[in-house]
Amino acid sequence: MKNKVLPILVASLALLLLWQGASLALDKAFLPTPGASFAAFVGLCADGEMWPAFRISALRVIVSTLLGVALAVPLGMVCGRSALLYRIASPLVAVLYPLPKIVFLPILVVLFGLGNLPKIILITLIIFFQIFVVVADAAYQLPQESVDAMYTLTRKRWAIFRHLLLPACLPSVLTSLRISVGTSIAVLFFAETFASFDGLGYLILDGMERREYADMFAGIIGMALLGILLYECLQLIEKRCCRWL
Amino acid sequence: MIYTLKDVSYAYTQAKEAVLDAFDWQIAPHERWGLVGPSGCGKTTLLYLLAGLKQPDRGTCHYNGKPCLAPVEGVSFIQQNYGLFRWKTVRQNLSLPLLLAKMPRAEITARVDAMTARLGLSGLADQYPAQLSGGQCQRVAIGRALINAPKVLLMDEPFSALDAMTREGLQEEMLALSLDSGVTLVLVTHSIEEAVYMCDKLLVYAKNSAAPLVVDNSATSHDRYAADFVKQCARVKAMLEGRPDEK
Repeated sequence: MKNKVLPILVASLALLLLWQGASLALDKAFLPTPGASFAAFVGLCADGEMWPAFRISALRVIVSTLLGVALAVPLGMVCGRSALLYRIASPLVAVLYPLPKIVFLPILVVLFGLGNLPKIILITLIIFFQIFVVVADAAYQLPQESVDAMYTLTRKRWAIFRHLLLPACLPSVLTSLRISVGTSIAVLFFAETFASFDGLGYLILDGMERREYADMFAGIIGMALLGILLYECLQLIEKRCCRWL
Repeated sequence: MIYTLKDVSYAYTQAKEAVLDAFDWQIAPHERWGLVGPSGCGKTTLLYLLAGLKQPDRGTCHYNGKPCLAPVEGVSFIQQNYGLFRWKTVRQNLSLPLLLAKMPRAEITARVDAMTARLGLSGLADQYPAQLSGGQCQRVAIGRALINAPKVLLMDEPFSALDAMTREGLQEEMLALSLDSGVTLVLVTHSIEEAVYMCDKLLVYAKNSAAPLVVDNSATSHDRYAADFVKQCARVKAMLEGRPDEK
């Protein structure tokens, strides 16, 4: 535990020092010091503005992630284990994956309004492909020895899924989720600044428009905390569920 | 007969020659067969046909009178690289066949405890395969293969990756286990000594012979230093090399 925490603390301190140095060097209102930013963060927490924004942003990301996993993991496993489906899915993914799906946000807003739904759909759409590709590849590359070993024990599909496919692909699922956390937060920020009246993204934009740059940075701190918390949760899940790694 | 192979042929897609060509073979219950031959001669392919993991291009392979189209209950397979599931502990790997057979939990625990004790794995039950040595992994693979008392045990070069001392120790344990349980054994190996030690019949892929030759090994002693053991190994070696048998 000590070995992991100390380097992180040192790295965080280094970043804060860099931030402090840049703020003092630039001496501009739009780059407040870390102290002023954290003070604003505490202030927004005390005022009761931070927690509702944090909660709604967290909800959007978590629901999107769960939806993305629920759709991409089974589809990825099925496509990965079926040569025919893999051949069908590969060109579709090659065409759809590179498409900048973020450009669909205006269409989603027109269709579904300014609430949670368009944001959740957009994030889900984007991370779906990230998870699908990784899981399909993991399922495709399952060692034949493991497959043969399982086939000599059972041919029942549920048992093969439960004892072979799921645990074999789980590390890849969690890896793809760790990668998608950053993407989810970034897309969330965009969606909440484009078409929203709540959430951390809106808090950041609101601070900027009011020229309350410390509040803007407080929102950024909130978003960073959200990303860190989600990432650490995934690390904990991996530690608990993939003890063999 | 527990296995009957008639006119079996098999070729890999990109291979020019078939690894098995019009091959006939019968295996009686409780027999212990050793398949010895050079790499690429079709020993492992034959094992996969017996396991139901592959089907012949021509001919038939029957297990207990029924076509061997898929892996069947009662046949266990130990693969060359152990075939352990790295995400399961020793206990979970051993329990899996019993869990799949829907055995009661209490009985599973009892059988697993007995098997770990028999194979010297008692302190390792909660370890993962990555934390075990090669010999320990192979013990777990043997335990998982035998835990549900199979009628047939197929082994593909099970000890090839182990050092000589560990290999000999495991050969002795495996021989004792197979004699105790009466399991029908089919062992693929590169090691002549291993085949002569563990098996009572040999299928030798002799040089200059179109088909593998059957050698009766039932009278050979299980003492590696006994004269008849050494002589039998020399005889098999001569067959493999295509030399006349020096009596």
